[in-house]
Amino acid sequence: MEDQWRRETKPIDFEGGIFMPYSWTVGRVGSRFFIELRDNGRIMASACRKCKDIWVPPRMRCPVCFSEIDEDAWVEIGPEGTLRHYTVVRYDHKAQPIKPPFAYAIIDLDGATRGFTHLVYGTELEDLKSGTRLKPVFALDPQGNILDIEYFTPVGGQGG
Amino acid sequence: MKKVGVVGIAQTRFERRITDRNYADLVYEVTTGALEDAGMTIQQIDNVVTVSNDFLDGRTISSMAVMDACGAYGKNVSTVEGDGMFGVVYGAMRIWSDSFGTTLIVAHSKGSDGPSNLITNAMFDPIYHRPLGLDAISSAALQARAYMDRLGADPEDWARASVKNHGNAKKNPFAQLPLDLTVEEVLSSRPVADPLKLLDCSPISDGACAIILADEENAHESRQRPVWIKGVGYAAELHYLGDRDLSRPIALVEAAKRGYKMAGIGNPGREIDFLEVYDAFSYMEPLWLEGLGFCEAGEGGKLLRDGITELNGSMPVNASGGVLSAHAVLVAGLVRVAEVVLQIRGTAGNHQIERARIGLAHGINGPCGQSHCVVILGDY
Repeated sequence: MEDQWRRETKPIDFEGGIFMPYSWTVGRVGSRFFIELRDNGRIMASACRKCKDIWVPPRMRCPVCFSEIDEDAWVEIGPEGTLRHYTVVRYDHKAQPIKPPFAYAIIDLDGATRGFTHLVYGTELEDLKSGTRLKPVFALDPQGNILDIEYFTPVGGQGG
Repeated sequence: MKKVGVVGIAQTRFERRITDRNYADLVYEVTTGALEDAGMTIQQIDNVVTVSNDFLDGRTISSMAVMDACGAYGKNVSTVEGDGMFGVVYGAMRIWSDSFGTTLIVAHSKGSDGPSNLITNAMFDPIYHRPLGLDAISSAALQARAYMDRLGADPEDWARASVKNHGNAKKNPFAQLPLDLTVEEVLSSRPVADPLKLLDCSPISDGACAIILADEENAHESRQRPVWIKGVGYAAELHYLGDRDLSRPIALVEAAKRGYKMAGIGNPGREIDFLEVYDAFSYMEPLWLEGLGFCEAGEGGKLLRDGITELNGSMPVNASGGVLSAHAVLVAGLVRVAEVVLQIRGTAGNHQIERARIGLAHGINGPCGQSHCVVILGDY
């Protein structure tokens, strides 16, 4: 009886979802980073005096030695940099800000010692390689968030 | 420190989508299965550690929703929101601390219930990284590329891990993706995120796993000969991908060092018989073998090329088919422990390896193996 019921029926799925807006506090350190980016088109990093590491985005404390990084120890870096590693994304989902194919890269911005993860677009993605020089393309209408850099693209428009 | 052993295990068969049981039903299935395996009753379980993730379950306090299903009514229960391997270590600590004599650890996930890419996107920092759309696959692809750029790793070697593990899965009745593959088929499968192809990636899975730990005194109550925990170790590194050298799993090196020290292992390559490692992506198998000290950095691919890690090789890795063949997130780490136990008991069936006295189970948490956990198990 039960076997027959199982054969002849399909279990039910309940369609639902979670839709909850957040207003994430960026904090003092993050706000300064985004305001510099939005208002002056400058990429700022924080320098740990002890480790000599230059972190981007800036931190309030050094992730390695745990000492506090005061805001006088900030430096302007980039805006150009060198591609460290990349991937070309060939599938899509709703959280992606642009349509694939596009690339993600870990970029060594000039002057930083730690990498910066962002999008690479507007080029022949097949021509990307470790060492490619990249520059940021800034948003025309900056909002004070990470997408004020729309993406990075090769310096001199390499590969179009 | 007193001895803690595994006396009961159970896992579901892993499937792309299980529709006739919800996640609590899966928890009930493996809880009763592990009790039966141990020859124990729920009354003999002193405390419970559940392993779950709220985003995967699509609700908050997901642990509370499985209380009845894991028999935790009236018991001390606590939750690990992370890989099941960390649940094992936590559960063992509750016995080592003399607080309890037995611990049930149960992990569940139904990857098919929610949008996998969006859920893994949500593990990234909401301000700096989530808006970029990063997820588990694209971040892993950056790590795979780092492995190539920094250490000269070859995707053809990773393809061998996919061929081997999907082939091993044919001998494991619980695996989701038993496949007959060739290296060429893996390399020519659909590009997903360069350099990763479809067959370099683990599937979305539904399933659950449970294990029961006991101290020596309580282990006598079980009908199983215990498989003892000889050593554990875990460590984490930085969260942001750009902060890390993705080609060097330093957290794993540290976790392994601690685990070997506790287990009294000086030469893992000689003293450990086999491994179950967290190969969520094919490149991870050789990379983790490097971190675990089974070869030098950049030499992991050679172990695959030389056939050492095959089911009948001198150091079998993922005889079960690994995570590539069934990847219920969080559950997969607990399955690594269950599989090591099956091998040491000598009851792994068609995927039983010849010499299996000391085995290592490995799990990861966070993007690109931000944290690692090893558990070394043995028959004495």
